[in-house]
Order: sequence, then structure tokens, then C-alpha cells
Amino acid sequence: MFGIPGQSMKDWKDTVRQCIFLGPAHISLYSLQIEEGTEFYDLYKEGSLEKVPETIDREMYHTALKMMKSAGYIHYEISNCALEGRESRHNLKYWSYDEYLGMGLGASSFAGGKRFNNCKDMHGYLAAIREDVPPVDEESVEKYSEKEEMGIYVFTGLRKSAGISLEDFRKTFGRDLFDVYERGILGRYRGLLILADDRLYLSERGMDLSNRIMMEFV
Amino acid sequence: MKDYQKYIRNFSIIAHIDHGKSTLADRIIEKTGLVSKREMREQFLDNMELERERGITIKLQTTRLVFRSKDGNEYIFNLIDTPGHVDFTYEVSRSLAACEGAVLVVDATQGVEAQTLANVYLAMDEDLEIMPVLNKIDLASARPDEIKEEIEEVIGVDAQEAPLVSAKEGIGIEELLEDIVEKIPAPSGDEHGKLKALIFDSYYDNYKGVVIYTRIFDGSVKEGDMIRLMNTGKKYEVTEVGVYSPGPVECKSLRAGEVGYICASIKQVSDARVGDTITIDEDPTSEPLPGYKKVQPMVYCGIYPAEGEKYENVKDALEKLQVNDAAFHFEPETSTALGFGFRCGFLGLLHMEIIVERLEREFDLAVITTSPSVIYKVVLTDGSVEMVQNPSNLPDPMSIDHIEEPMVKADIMVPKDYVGNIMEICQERRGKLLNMEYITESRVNLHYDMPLNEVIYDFFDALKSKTRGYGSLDYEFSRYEPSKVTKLDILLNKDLVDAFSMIVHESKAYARGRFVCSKLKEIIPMHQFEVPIQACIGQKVIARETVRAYRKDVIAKCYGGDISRKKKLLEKQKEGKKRMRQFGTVEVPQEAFTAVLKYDDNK
Repeated sequence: MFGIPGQSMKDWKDTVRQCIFLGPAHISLYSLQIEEGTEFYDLYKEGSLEKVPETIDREMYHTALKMMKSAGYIHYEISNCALEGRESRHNLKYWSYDEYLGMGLGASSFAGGKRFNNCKDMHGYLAAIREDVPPVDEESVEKYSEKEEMGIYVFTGLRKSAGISLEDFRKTFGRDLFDVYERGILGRYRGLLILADDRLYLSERGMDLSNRIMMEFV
Repeated sequence: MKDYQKYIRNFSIIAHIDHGKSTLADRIIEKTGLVSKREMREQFLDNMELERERGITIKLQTTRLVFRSKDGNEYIFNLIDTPGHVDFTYEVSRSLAACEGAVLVVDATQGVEAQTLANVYLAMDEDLEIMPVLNKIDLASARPDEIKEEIEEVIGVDAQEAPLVSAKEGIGIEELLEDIVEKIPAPSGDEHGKLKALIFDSYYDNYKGVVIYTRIFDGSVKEGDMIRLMNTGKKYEVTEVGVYSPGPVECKSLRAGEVGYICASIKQVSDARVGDTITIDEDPTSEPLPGYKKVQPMVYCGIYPAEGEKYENVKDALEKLQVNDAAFHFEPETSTALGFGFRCGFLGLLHMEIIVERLEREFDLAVITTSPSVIYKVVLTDGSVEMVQNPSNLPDPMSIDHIEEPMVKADIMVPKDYVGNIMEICQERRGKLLNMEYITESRVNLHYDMPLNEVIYDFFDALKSKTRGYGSLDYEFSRYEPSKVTKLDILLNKDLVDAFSMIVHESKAYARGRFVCSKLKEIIPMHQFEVPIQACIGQKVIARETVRAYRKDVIAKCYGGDISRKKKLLEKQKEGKKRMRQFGTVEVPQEAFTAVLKYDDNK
């Protein structure tokens, strides 16, 4: 984790170096997010936490990626690096518009074109199992429109360094991506959002501003 | 006094907000009227949602009620409602002029408050009999004796006999009505004299044309009469006369002392001006009633359709609003930044806010309003004169000889303890004290000579806040005077955005420029590049702020369970972007326009 109040660039580089030294197959790196309801948030609100400036945060991010790439890791998703062939098969499903089934309390599923979560409480969950009924929290069930699912396809797919394939988009939805979205989007984000032959992807700098770009597709 | 007049009482209810005016009116109408409380509420007093929310009455309503007194007689009560804000002081004063008395409602737990005073002063100016009433007597915290003392001391009206009521619980209403019979004078006037009637309000009805609310002072009027409106000189034939009881009820004639309505195929409310006098064309009364004022817009602003809103829709809505608002004016104009829109004239800032809110709520429109402005008189070097309200239309400085700004005579009434505060805020706004007088031992009237453009922004708000609400303001146009005013421009990323341009006095330019720049810096979102915000006079930059570029806009984690949430976040971001307006390379939220209007006097 980087962007921690009080963390210096040196601290971070040391951390990355040590991590690489241990030689894991897969490394995830996240910028600290201060969430409401945590003690960190309270400290932040009262001014006791010094938030790391955005510029430093990004510098930490890009420096780490550079170090990992030099060590042979592939930066394959915004927050994830792995040795060749060792990318997370599980998570890639989320970013490749594949379906998945959730098991356990509160777990999410994308199945049969619907998105839903399981019951959050044990009693409800077990009761459903006993009755041989899926332990789904009815209120969480969402059946989005095709346009909405297209949006999800794009914003999850753009998280991957390889981005999305226009051909695959056509196969999935039966329409050309640039019939649905205006080409002008490319012009607005030159250098950040890149179209090369069949692939549409975010550059490393583009990942810094990914929300703004993904927003164009929802 | 004629016989029939003995049994009429014309009065208004005045009170501070939340002291129970509406509830009391409901009770009075219930006790005497012919409709249920609910029906009446739906039809009458305070019926606009906007009014309910702001707690003020904008449009007037009048109801005629019948009360059977314990003395065995039937009395006709004409209850006239009044709005209560400085922008509409004139309307209030004209409705009060139609009455003989005012029922002053005071909350027995709160005592005399700001708007109580403001309205009482108006009533006193019309020589009305003021009848205090203590409300909310059912509450444990009620202090009737104390409040009676307060009323006597602060207002100077005898309150010993004031009825104690609870409008909510229905206590004391009967006694209150008897008091009205006893204490409020009956009207007088010669029913056979020459017609002299006051227009105290009017509205446009699709079938009847303009309906005039009127109080007859002398003479009588009936269907078929040829009337003349004395101040506008226009003539009309009466098609209908009647009373509101509670809905319109036609009658044969209206006589001196009575209150009702007149229809005369009048096409526009601006032809039936509040305060005008109605008389018979063939046999006119010699003098019109006093107090007539030609309503002049004092404040102008630009109203433009927002992104995605149709120009035609805005035009239609403005036309519809004008039908029932004689004081509201508009005409088309254009702005380089905002495109095609309208220049609109209002009585004051509140009037403007109300119209804008109505456009947004009743007509469901998205509009952008530009900085309010007054009309400047620009004298050119060749001797010609141009009247300019849109700062962007100011001629080339090289061709200007001098500029004159409108000045007003302001009457500010405050309790003596606040005189110092008032002098301070008036001085800050280039006001010159003409004189000061004690109206009562505790109440002072200050007469100021002030530039109108210092009054229209937030003077009233500052006045209220510095006097804890007790201050009241009335102003009228006095003359034009040469002044050192200049055009202040705002540049975003080096481009001039004419929608933000304003005309300010030299002495205020720096402060104003700094204020607008800092407000815009707070509101304009970060862009992919740095955005310099500059305030300029001509080519000279007098204030500057910079919106730094954003570096990071990313969500670190997005796994299965995060997807729905992420989707919502992106959608929200997109919505926010829709409310942006593009000016050259810079995106500006629509709130920016309203944000720079209010000049914070955070002292």
C-alpha cells in the first residue's frame, strides 16, 4: 500500500524492493483510500492525518510499476502485477465480462445476465440452504439494460492493460463499439485512451485518470 | 355613515412568520365562512407551494365572511391578505390602504419580532386601527402579561384588552370576532358620490380577462358602467362585479365601504395597476387616491436556457409569468458565452429569485441567471446618451464621456439600538445619511441617499442580519448621478466569459474581483490543465486565482462485488458533468453563476 500518511518515497521504494526480492508470482499495489466509518477517517477529518498529495501518490505508483517491470513482472491490471502466466485467473473474470457465482455471506454473482448478492446474515443464508433455495438477497438483484451492461463491459475491461477487443465487444453485444459510443471520446483523451487495431486500452497515464474516461461509457 | 356600512369591517391580519397568521385566518374563516377548513386551504391563503416553503405570501387573496354577533346583527368581514417583503412593500401598503383596521397577531411565547414591526409600521402609515391579539395561549410557555407590556412598549399600541387566543385549539376565536366588530371602525363614504375605488390587486383569468380586487371609497359601480383608471387614463366597460365569498360571487353593485372585484375586459394586468384609482368616465372624481406609484423595475439580470434546455420553453414560461405579474419585464438579448436569452427586470432581488424559482419549479426549466444589474446612463463624447443594463453592451471606453448611476432614497426603520450597525453598513455601500428621526421613543427612521447598485445585491440581507431582523427597508428611485463605475471582466483560461462581466464602482472593483475569483476557484472543477481565473479592468488584471490540474481520478480496486457500486459512482460523475457549461476550454458548473451573485459580507 502506498500513499500512506507519513510514508516517504524512500520508504515506498524500500518496500517495493523487498517485495520483489521475495520473488512472489503476483503483487497487488493499492493507494490508501480513507473510508468513512474508520478511525483513519476520523483522524483525517480532525486534521491529524496528513494526506499524501496527489502528485506524490502518482509518482509512487509509477515508480513501483517501473521497478516491477524491470524485475520481470507484467503490469496487467491497474493495481496488479504478475510474472508471465501467473495473472489471477479468478479476478480476470471480473475484467473480462465472464460470469461468476458467489458463495458465502454477501458474495456477489453475475449469472444468467443478472447481478445479485447473497444474504448478508447467517440465519437467512442457512434457512435458504435448508429450503433448497438460492440464498439470494432479493433487494440486491439487478437486471441492467443492454446499454448498462455495455458500460460495465467497458469499464471493467479497461482496467486491464490489454484493454478490450472491439471484435469481442461485437460478438458479445451484436453492435460495434463506436456505433454505440461517439468516436470523439478518443480525441478528448488522446494519449490516455488508445485505439490500436482491434484493441482499446488505457495508457499508464490514462489509468491515473481512468474514472473520467470510463465515465464516458456509462 | 350609512346604515349598511355600520355592519362592514375591512381588515387585514399582520404577523411575523410562524406566529399563526394563517392558522388564525383559517379559524376565522371556519367560524364565519361557508367552506370547510380543508377546502379553503386548498383554494386560498398561501396556496403556492413556493410561498409555503419560504413562509411568505406572494399573491394576495381576499375573502368576504359573515359573522353573526351576539348583539344580534350580521356583520360582513372583508379579510384582506398581504405579502410581506420589502420588494412588495408597495403591494402591502395598497392592500392595507383598503382596510380600516389590522389584526396584529403576536405569538404569546415569542413576543414582538421583526416582521411584526415592519408590517405594523406600514399599517400605521395608512392610519389603520391596530388590534393586537395574543396567539398560542394554549402553550405552557405563553407569557401574556409580559407580551402585552412588550407590545405597548415597542409598538406603542394599547394591548391591555388584547384577546387571548389559540388558533390551533380554537380558543378565544368567538371573542376575537366580537372584538373586531367592536374595535375596528366601520368604513364610511358616500355611496351616491362620484366613484372613487382603489385597485389593490389584480390577476389575469383566462375567461374574464383581468380581475381587479377593489375597495370602494365613494360612489358605486355596477355592470355596464364605463370606468376610467385615473393614473393610466384607460377606459373600460364593466362586465361583472362581485365579491369573493369564498369563490367569486357576482352581485348587482359594489358601494362605498365595500370590497370586491371588478371585471372589465381588461387584457393585461399591467393595465390595471396596483394603487390606481377607478372612477366613472363620464362623471369622474376630482382627485385620485393618494399613494399611487408607477412600478419600476429596479433590478435586471440575464436569464438563459441552460445546456439542453430549449429557448422556446423559456420564452413561453416568461410570457406566462408576465401575464400575472405587472412588475415583471423581459426582452430578448444575446451573450457570447451563453447564446440567446433574455434581459429581465424585477422589483428587487427577492422578486427575481421568486421568478427564477418558479421557472425551475412550476415550468420545470433549467436556466442560468447572470449577475443582477441596474441601468446605467452612459453619456458619450459626442453628446448622445445610451441606457445600458447589460455590462457587455457598455460602449468602447474611448467613446465614453462619463457614466451616471441610479441613486435611491432609502428609508430604513430600526429600533434605536441598531442605528450604529446601520450606519456602518450604509457607509460601506457609499450611502450618505440625509437625516434621522425618532418615530417613537424606540424607533428610528434613517433617510439615506444611496446608489441603487449597492442596494440590490445583498443590502437587505445585511440589514436584516445586523438588526436581528428588526430592520425594514423601503427605497425609491431618486435621480442619476455621475459616478466612477467601470466594467469588471472575468477571464477563464485567458478567455473572456462575458456572462460574468459586471459593472462596479471603482472603489469596489478590487474586492469584487477577488471575491469572484475565489468563488470560482472553489466551484470550477479541476481540469487536465491548470485553469487561471482572472478579474480584469480593461487589460489590467486586478485579481487572480488558479485551479490546479487534477492528477488522479482512479479507483484502486474493482472486483466482483464492487461493480454495481462503481457503476453508480461513474453515473453520478456523469450527471455532475451534465450540469457543466463549456466556455472555451473550461467547464463551469451552472451553480457558478448564482454563487458569484451573493457578495459575502462576512464581518
